[in-house]
Amino acid sequence: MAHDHHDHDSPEYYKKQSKIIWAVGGVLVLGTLITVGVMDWDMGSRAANIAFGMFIALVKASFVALIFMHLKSERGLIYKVLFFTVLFAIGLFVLTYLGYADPLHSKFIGY
Amino acid sequence: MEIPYTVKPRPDTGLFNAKIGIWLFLASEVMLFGGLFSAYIFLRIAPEGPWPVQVLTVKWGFINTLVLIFSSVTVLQAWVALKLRKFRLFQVWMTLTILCAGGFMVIKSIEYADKFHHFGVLLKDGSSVEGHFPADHPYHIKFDEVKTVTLAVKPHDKGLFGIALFRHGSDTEFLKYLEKDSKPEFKDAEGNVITLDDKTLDALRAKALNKWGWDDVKKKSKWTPDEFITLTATSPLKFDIPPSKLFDNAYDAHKAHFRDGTVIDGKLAYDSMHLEVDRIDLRRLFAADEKSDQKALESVQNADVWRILGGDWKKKFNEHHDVEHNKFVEKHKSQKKPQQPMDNSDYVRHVYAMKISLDDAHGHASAAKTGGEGLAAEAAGDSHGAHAAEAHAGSHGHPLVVIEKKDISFWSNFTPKYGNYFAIYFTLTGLHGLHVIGGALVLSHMLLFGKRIYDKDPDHLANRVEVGGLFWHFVDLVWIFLFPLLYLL
Repeated sequence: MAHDHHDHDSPEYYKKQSKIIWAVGGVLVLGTLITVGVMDWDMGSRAANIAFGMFIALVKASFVALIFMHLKSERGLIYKVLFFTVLFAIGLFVLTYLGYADPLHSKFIGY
Repeated sequence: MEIPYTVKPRPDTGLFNAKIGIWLFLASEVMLFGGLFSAYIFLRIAPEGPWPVQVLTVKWGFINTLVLIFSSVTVLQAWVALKLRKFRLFQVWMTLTILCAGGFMVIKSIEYADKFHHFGVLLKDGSSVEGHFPADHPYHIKFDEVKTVTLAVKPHDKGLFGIALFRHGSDTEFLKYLEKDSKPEFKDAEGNVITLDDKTLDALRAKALNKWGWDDVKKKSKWTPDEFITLTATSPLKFDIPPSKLFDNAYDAHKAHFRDGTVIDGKLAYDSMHLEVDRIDLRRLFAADEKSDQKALESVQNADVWRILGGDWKKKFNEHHDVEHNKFVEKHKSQKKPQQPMDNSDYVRHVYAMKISLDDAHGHASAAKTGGEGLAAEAAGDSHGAHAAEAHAGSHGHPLVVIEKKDISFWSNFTPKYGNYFAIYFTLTGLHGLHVIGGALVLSHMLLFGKRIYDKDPDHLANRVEVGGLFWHFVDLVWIFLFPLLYLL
């Protein structure tokens, strides 16, 4: 799992990783239950529900990325690749959102 | 040639090569899905019409989320098993992972099938009804007294590299929609009686094209216009045609145009749609920025849906509105500046896109039976109408209504044609499904053919599984965002 290479050959290390993997799986299930459980809660506005739903999704995604995908302790090159990926992805979203500034407004906005 | 750095890390990067490769690939995948997610957000912010309400079954999305989480765990356990040099255990975990992928796709196909059989009908005034066609009464268009059939003959289009984009005119598929008591016997232009089948059609087609020099046509060296062959039925024919086989709305009281170019001339006998209604949507009847609930309520009082469903459903809707309005006011009255109902999109959706069910209100069944003053079935006055009038309580807990074509502005099943929501839903989930299939194939290869590599160097197979696992977790990551976006919000 994690890439502190000095203990990679130890069976104890991998047995411990196996337990961590199950624990993270449990956290992901819990996050899913929370997301489904609170979807009908009236949080005052739709935006609040969406923000909360996305927050839970982000927490779940972080666990997957950090633990399952080993990003908790990865080599620098991977972080550099991901830095630019995130940067360009944000740019992509911003560019799309800028399109919203173009008056493409529908009379149905707000539904 | 030995591929370098498949097991040991490359000194300058500190990583084995496949790992750098998969991360670069995942970076491009982020951009691919990122583009589609941003498209989703854009469509959601400025939809072309009211956004559909809870048309996906949360249960299926929830189960599929659990399936993917479990498979992410099992693929990692397979990797751990290899590190612990337990090949049999690796096989067990990897088999479970692939079974999860199969399970995910089975559930996905159930969901897709449900969408293909769920329909929305936009009425002329902008209100809409949603539901299913009754199993014993699919939407078909019936033509009687068909005396003339015109077949379109087009030169063979060899297309690009032998792939023709368009059909070369009429085939005999339209004969499938002949009613049982009708025989496909025709007289051709010379008065010969023929029974139309693939063989006789081929002969007719060749004869028509020979006029232009068949050899030239085959070589495509000569342009030829479309030819038409008119056949006269020896006795009047009856057709029962699914609308999907016709060009969109390409029929009138006397003619129907099939997609292959065939035209039948006769008399339109029946084209009303039977629908078991599970939801009405009235949100198109008032402006999206309407602030007054009272005005919105007034604007829906004369909606076409009440003519279709009957006045008792209108009464039920008004009661539903009043109950929800009072609940909303009660809930928000303690706020310093109480929120107005029309400012709350949940309220608008819940009230004006109302579920229709006979199960949760027993009065509805009898209401529907007596209240259908606008039932087209009665107006149609034929055997189908009588059938509908008897059974319009519906068979799945939803009222059965009959909608005449003149009332329909647009209809479709829940596919991209129905609107942007389904377009982006199928694009995102379809692409994600393809990733699940692709990932499962790669992992299956490791399961089935990994032993040889394992015997040579177990860490080599472990590295491959790690790389395959990274892709699999990415598939899981995408679903983590898709599930709340599409199913819950």
